[in-house]
Amino acid sequence: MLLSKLPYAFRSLYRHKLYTLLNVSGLAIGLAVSLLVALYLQAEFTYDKHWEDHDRIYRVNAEFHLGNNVDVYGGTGYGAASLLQDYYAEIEQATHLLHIENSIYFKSDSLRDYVEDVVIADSNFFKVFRLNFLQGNSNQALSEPRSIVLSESFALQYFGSLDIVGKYISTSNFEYKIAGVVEDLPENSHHYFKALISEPHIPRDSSDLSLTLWQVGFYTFVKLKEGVEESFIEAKFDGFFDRYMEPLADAVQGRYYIDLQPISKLHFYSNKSYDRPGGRLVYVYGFAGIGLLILILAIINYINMATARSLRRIREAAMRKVLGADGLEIRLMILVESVLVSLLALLLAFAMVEVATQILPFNSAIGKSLSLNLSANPFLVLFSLGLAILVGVLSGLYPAINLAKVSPLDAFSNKKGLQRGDYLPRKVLVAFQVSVSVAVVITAFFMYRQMEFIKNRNLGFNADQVVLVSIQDTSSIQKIDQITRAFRRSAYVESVSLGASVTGSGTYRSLFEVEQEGLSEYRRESLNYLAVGPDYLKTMEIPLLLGRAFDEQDLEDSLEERLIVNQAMVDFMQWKNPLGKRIRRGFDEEGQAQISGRVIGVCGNFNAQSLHAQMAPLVLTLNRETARVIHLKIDRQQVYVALDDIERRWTSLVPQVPFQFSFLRKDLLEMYQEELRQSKLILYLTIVAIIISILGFVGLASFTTGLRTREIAIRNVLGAGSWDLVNLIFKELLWVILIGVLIAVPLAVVLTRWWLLNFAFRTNIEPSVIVLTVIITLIIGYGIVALHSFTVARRNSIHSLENLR
Amino acid sequence: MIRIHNLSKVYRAQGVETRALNEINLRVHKGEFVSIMGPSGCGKTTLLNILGLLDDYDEGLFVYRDQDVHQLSEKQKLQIRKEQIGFVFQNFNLIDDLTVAENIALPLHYLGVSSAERQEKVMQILDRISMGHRRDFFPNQLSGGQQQRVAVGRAIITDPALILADEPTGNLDSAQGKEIMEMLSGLNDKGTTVVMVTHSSHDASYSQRIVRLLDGSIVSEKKVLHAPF
Repeated sequence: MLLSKLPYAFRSLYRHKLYTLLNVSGLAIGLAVSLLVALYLQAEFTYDKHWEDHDRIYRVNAEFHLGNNVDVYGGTGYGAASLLQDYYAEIEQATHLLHIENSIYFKSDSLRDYVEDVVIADSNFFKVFRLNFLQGNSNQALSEPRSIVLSESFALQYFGSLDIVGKYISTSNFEYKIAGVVEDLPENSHHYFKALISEPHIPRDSSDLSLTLWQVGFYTFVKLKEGVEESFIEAKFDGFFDRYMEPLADAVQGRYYIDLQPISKLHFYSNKSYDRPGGRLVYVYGFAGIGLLILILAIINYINMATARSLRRIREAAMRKVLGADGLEIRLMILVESVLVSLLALLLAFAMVEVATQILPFNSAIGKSLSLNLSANPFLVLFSLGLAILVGVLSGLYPAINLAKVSPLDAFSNKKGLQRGDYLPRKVLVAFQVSVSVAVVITAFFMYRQMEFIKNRNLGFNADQVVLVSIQDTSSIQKIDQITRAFRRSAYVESVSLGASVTGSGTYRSLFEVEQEGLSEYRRESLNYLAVGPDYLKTMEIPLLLGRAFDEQDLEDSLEERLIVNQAMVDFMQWKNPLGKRIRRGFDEEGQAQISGRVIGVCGNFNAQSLHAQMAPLVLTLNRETARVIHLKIDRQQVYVALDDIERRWTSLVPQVPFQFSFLRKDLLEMYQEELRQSKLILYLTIVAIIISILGFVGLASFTTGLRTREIAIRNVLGAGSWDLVNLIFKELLWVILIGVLIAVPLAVVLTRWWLLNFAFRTNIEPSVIVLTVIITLIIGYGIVALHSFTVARRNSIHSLENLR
Repeated sequence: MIRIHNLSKVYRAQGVETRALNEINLRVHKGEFVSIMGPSGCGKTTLLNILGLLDDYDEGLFVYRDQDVHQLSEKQKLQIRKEQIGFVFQNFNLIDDLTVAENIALPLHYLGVSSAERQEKVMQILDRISMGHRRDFFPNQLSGGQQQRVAVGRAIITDPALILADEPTGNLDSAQGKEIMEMLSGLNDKGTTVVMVTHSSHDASYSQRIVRLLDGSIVSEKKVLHAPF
């Protein structure tokens, strides 16, 4: 019965080409957005589910309770993996890995290039994480020192072949023997890597290992035996703590717990300290929500157009009923047509997604590599078919029900087909469309404003003309003093300093004992600190409020550490005289602080962490060993000459390591990648939403003018001008827009507020922006109505009398 | 075939009662050709709708082929309509998206007749209405007269006992109108009962009896005298 209707449905669509084109393309836009959202969600929600036994693999997180603070870290100490495996019979295998944060310079016979995403792992790695070895053997792969396992694409890039086991690849420091080639890791892996380097074998006994438990450096993973609950491991941890951690815990009055996090949960719950960057659920839901709204907008458009058309089909339906069709027959006829439209739209949507992901820079804009690989993605095939049929049924239902209610008596009437009865639902739908698009536009605008706000905000330091040179390999680390001195001698460099990390990207955290104002007792606090070199404040243009900055002499003084604190620290400790206050850190097994320091200066607050975080108390220490990011303030007028000069100086000292630099301003922006991507996504979706809404409004305007053709003809004959007619129609649609706007504005304000909560520093929500958006919406609405009414009025002047018949 | 006794139909809108038909009495015999005439709004079309089992009435008795219409369910009425009644309209009411052949076949489709049988009958009808050469045309590619011929073809494809025609020549020029009236008259000659609403005395002259309506009541009924040539 349904199949017999198909050819007629095809014919009907073919004969109404414009109608079909508008409908199919409108729905296709909605479906294409839904498919992209589905691909995106699929990638996000299947993070690390590709691992065999992923439901038994957990990452061990460390919870430190020190002083009043609880710090949760995504990593643990070096010894955790082997000690946990020894202690727990329930753990099948444990391993750990370490991400090398910088890119590494690899050389093969044919290629020399920087490679990111390299990890160091122990020999147990492949017992926990099963990877498909294309060459080599998982049992021996990382058992020898200085061996390396490459991913397929890495191997092909450097060697052009996979048959490379036993060959060597070198960095500027070492040569690594290739022990295997594995399949590429899917990009939706929280601990993504392209190559694994074996960890140096340092034999240690368990007491050595247990000392490392109080540090954080490695990501530890355990694979539990079948049927073991992670809560069991956590509950049994007290015994482990007593055996390995108790002595030092007593000394620092601290406590330590572990938390086993399922590997498939890492991506969205990566808010621990020392974690890899992860996804944010709120963004994912936001994206999904907007995708859904766009789909709804597209469905509403189709309902509107199909309803308008169905009104022209009243007589057809009535005649069919006279000839013996029942309501079901009519409903099926309309539904088959709308499902067909939807399936055609799906085909077009596939093409659109293909264009968006393969030709347009959609993937790079959102930082993903989505692709519509239907043959390898049966879920998506089912999803898209199901969605298309559902959309077809949903959008055809209302016109189908309406037409089925037509009385056969209408076949006798001479009505032209358009009636005002179905008008209200259409107005409601269009009001909804207007409100969604206005809300999306306002929200998107404020998101954009916030990103601009972040880009231009006063960070408390000056990132302009600051060039960063990271020192990574041992040969350059040994020459770091010579390098900084050489840079300082350059005529184009105004100032040079060292920092432990890229300024503004984050700080370290540790336990301190801090002298209190007027009390002899020290207070234990977990505080942020940052190791920097002399001239740091000068290079970064951070104001010194009190005391003095570090100088070279401070480095020589080994008895007492010199410290600078920020204003937030002074406020936090309620110091009246901050200069000279003592701060101790570096605790030994007995809990005695090993390093004693004294405050020599107070600096202004600056954004040492991301703008998501509030300004926190901060201690600057002077340290040459850990501060390996050279900050150079260069001559504003001669940037390129300066860079050339720096590179020349670098090459003369460490010729074997290629010169690499970055601009601090750009690095800072990269920290807001997620937000920048979001605002781009929002921008794209906003454009789509606006297009669909305008289509919807055009439909309503044409419907309204169509309904009033006769009235317009009468008024025309009686001498009404074109503007009178425009105003007549617009008055009727004005309140549709106004109601839409009334719903949209509060919604947009709530959404914007909620989104801005993610930031410590926020832009204001200005009413003027909202007013402007509303005015523009009204102008667009008026424009569309004017265009339509003019057309109708012109047509009418020719056919007026005919219309009056 | 049709027996109507004291039949009334009342429309109520916003408290105002309009008697569209007022105690009508009418008999139509099998094989008869009856014209219903009268000014606009006198109730002609309402009467035709009731005769076609498309509309209900409020009072009186309507017996169609010995069945009290009041006692029939909607389903039974639909079945009678499908099998026994053909309709011809002033504005043709062809379905724009269907071809000539498909428009004609539509009633058979709703009767559940097999595709092969439909094809065969459609061929016969196309032949009878001389539209075989236009079978794959769409209605908007035809002249008004051709469209009405197709509509008549559609009305007769089920071999109905009764044809109801609502001003069948109203939208046609005189030559085309003549053609249609001759078709209806020919059908009547072969035994089909025809009831036709018309404004045109010329068209009415093809029938055997003319019923005149005024303000919902029958004001006259007279036999048409056909010249014996």
